[in-house]
Amino acid sequence: MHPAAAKVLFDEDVKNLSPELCKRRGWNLHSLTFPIVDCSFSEKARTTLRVRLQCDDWNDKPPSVILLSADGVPLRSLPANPTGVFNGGLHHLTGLPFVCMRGAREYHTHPSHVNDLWEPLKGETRYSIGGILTQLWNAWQKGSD
Amino acid sequence: MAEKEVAAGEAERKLDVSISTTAGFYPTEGFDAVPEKQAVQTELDKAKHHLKIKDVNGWIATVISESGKRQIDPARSYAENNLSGQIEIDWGPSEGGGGV
Repeated sequence: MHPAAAKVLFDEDVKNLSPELCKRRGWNLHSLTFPIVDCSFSEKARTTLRVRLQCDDWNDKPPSVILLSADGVPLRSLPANPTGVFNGGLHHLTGLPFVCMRGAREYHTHPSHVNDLWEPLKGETRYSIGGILTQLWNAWQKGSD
Repeated sequence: MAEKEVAAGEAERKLDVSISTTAGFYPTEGFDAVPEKQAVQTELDKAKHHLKIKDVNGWIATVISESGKRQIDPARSYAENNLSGQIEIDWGPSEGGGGV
């Protein structure tokens, strides 16, 4: 995907990630500029989770999802509230804990899932950038902390 | 007669509903007045149409209450979901599959 075309698709995908939506969901968007979506999930009495979606080559490739601390440092281990999609093992490409969920680049490049292709998923509503971010938010909220 | 009027009033009691998605809000601004005995799904269907959302398979509807985020059942009415007043429904895909 040509970077200019990827940017057009990115901008179309994120145009409704508005301040009003973020206020309702407890999201804090640190960056929403191609190719990065950097967003914190916060809720009363819960540990904040920050995620950075690297959307280069969107949407020929799914976003790479990096888990961050509240101050933006990549997590070397998972917080105390993991649910099924947050994998505390180190991904062979990033050397970091990762999101093991369809729609995350680390899932589709993991040796266990290389046959689960991104191609048939891309374009589906739940695999838009907002859809993937929502899935991550819902996964985070299922955690115990 | 009075009982009939009370019953009619209860049947038509309305709530204010707003639905948020990553495709936008329905209605675009403010709230929609809907009967409290109407299934939540009716308003979700309107949102899907209005916001031109192609596919809502696996989506969940939630509300924020004092005890935190709570999933509601779209097949049931607002009253059956214990919802009242101004209701802000969040609608989007649930946590996806994966696992190594």
